[in-house]
Amino acid sequence: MDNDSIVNLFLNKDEAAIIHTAEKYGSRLRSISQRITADCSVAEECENDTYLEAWNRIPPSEPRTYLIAFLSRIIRNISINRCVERERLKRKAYITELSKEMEQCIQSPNDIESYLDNIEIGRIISTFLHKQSKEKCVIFMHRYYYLDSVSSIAERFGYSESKVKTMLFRMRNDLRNYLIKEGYTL
Amino acid sequence: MRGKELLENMAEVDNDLIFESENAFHQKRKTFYTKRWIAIAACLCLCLCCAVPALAAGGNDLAYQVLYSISPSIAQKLKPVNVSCEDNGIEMTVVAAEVDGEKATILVSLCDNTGKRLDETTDLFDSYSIHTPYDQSGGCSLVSYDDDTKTATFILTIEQMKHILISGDKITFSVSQLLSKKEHSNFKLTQINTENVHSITEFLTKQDVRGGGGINIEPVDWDTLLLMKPDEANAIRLKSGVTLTGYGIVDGKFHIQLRFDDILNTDNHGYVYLKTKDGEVLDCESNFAFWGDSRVDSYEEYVFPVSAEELSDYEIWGEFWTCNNGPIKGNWQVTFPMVGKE
Repeated sequence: MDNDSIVNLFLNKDEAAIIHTAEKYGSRLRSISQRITADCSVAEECENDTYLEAWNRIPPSEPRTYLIAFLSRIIRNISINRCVERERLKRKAYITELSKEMEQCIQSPNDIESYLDNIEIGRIISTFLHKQSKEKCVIFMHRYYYLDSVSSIAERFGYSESKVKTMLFRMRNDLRNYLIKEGYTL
Repeated sequence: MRGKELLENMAEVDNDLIFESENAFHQKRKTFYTKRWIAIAACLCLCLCCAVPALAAGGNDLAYQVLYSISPSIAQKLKPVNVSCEDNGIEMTVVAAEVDGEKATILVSLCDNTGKRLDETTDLFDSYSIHTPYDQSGGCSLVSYDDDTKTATFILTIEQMKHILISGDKITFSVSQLLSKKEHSNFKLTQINTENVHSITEFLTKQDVRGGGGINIEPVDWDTLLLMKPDEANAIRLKSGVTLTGYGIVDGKFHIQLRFDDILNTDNHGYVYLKTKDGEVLDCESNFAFWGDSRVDSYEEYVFPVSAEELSDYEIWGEFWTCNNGPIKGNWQVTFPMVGKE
């Protein structure tokens, strides 16, 4: 079933929307969650929570042209929160590790509220990523959107780990410089 | 804003970036399999032709002795591995290893067979990789250096994210660069007369600040930030690899600028601080780093909330870590099976 029809089912509050979404995107969504949580059963829970969240958000949202992006955002957030909430999951430490990496992009990390809202930050990062080569952009996304490990990125894309680490390091520096150059205060 | 929030806000990136990376994720795997088979074939050829690892039956007594002296409990747990490879005259040996649940410990020695390029300051210059079948995090630290045998010993710890390494799982450890002969120094910068510091009049016209830090958490006003133009004509070498390229008063605050040579190959770094006669230390409120013209040398400018008049109450000190030999490059890689706890 195409995305337009699936979204129509959601809009009509037809439970078949969940079935068709699961058929079409279930494995992708579980894959995203599993990469973040590193736990199959938690990934399944996150997948189910994602359908519920999509059910609640459509309407008013109508992600006809970006359904997978819409769902992937939801499952990403749910999975990250699940890692942070569940102390027993060692992935919490992993999220902290990634957070520290991202902190290198901020000129003076502090506890002061951001001057920019989330959407604006997303827009700035998107602009920055659009200026990068496709290869760099995809690797950055896999590390910081899908929270993939360096080793899995290296394996997936056929690079050495040190190359991936170097690319990410340089991109974090570039993002930091970009934010400074453009005058953004995070 | 902290890193965690920025990480969370990655969710707000454009849809097309998500589509693109999703698609690439599924397409690239196919490409990789071809590359992996080529890589495996190349590795097999390498193993057969050039760097046949020697799996000796005996133990490496020296490394064990060193480890015993530092941590008997770890040393007792390790099982002999003794897999070696050699490149650029330096032999790398995985001496012993042990896996215990989610944690693995590996003892690695590096021996210079041709000279004395290694020393007690040797590090792996962040060039090491640990490959296991699963996601993992790891760390590596120097245990000791033995001058007689010219051997540096390192201990690696690996913690699996989810899976437990089992006996027989193969681990590949590789290193591509070593940094040695590093120097640490901490001394008073007597070249600066703190009673006679002038105001700065020449500034960088094009700022390309790549990083910075400090205790000042006020947002930087980049439009009005003034950084000194490096005064190479009157530069003063503080030590090999570190040069004073300017100091003076800017907007009522004391600025001091240093040049660290070739930082990507030397890891030269350090910082400047002020000290009162009573020994009280004042760190800079902010510092800014920018590249030299060729992007080889790095300039760092430190800003202290101290006026020209107040500066006479302080001494200026610098602490530096330098290395002027450049890294030793090579391709050291060994693969070995983990031995489980008995």
